[in-house]
Amino acid sequence: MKENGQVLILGCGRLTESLIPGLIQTGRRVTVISEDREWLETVSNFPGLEIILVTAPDLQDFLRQGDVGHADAFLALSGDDHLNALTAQIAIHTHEVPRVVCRLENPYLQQLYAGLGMKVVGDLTRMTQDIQQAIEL
Amino acid sequence: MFTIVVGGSEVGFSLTKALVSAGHEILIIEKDQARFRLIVEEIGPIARCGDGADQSVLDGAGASRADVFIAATGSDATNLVACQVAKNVFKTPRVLALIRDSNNRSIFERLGVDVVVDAVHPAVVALEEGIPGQPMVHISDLAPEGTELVSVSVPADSSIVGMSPLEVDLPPHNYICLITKRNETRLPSDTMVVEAGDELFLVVTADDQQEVYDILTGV
Repeated sequence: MKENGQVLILGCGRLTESLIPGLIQTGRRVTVISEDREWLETVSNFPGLEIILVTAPDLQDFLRQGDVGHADAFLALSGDDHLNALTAQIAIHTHEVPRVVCRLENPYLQQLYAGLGMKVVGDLTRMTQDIQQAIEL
Repeated sequence: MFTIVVGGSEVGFSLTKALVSAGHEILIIEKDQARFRLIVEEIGPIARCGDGADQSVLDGAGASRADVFIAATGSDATNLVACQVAKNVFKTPRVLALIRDSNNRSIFERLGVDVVVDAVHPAVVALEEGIPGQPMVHISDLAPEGTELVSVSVPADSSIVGMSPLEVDLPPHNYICLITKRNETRLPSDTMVVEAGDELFLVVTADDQQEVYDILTGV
């Protein structure tokens, strides 16, 4: 991804918060869309970060407001699997965003969307493996 | 024919009742416990409580033998995911979805939803039409930039009353496409006569919109 690339993130929580510094320090322009006012306030001190508070996150207007059409990467990282799946596919098919990442916690959905060619992340699978390893199952 | 309906709010519930009385085999999946109990009380044990976009719930509901799958929850995102699970995992031959955001229609169609029904926009259009003095009701943007599908009610004193819709002289690239008279909708023809209260559906260009409106409603 190019250095001054534009990254649009849907969802604001600990995961987004931990991603922001690395993105900003390497020169990316970052916009975060979330309905969580408190979390947005928590991250609002990062220099240059743009934040968009939404009231109904499944409206495409908010993606346009975040200029999804010009994003180099779209990260659907909200805590809602369904919302992530919808917006990630809008980014891929409608706006042809070159890099799209979709967070999914439901293992069935992880499998379905990975099978459809989407870049899927989710910590449940990894944690399950870690725990199984730790107790030597 | 076996149909699964996901979402037991107004639309899903009314649809289920209609299909039951038409003799269909049907199963409705509702997430909310209280709502689920209400549905069972009213139509009997053809409901399940759970997330209708979850593969294990759908598996237990017999999704693999469903002929039709209808996602009618209040969330567009859930409806899309539920349809994609039905289509891709259970190979359901026909999947239908309700949307609340009209912008989502194209992505749903592109991702394989066979029928996409807009739950909100038609009501907005109908209400707009009920407001007196409402000039042109915007229905949809069309593919050519600046072209729209609109509707106009013909006022009683309009000069086009009594004419055939084909005689109405509109600027180029503006067309009367359909006419709704009372309860029937017809294509314009030279034997048809425009009457007061008719609903005209037109393709108009942004530049000519005002002129077209003046021609249709002018005295």
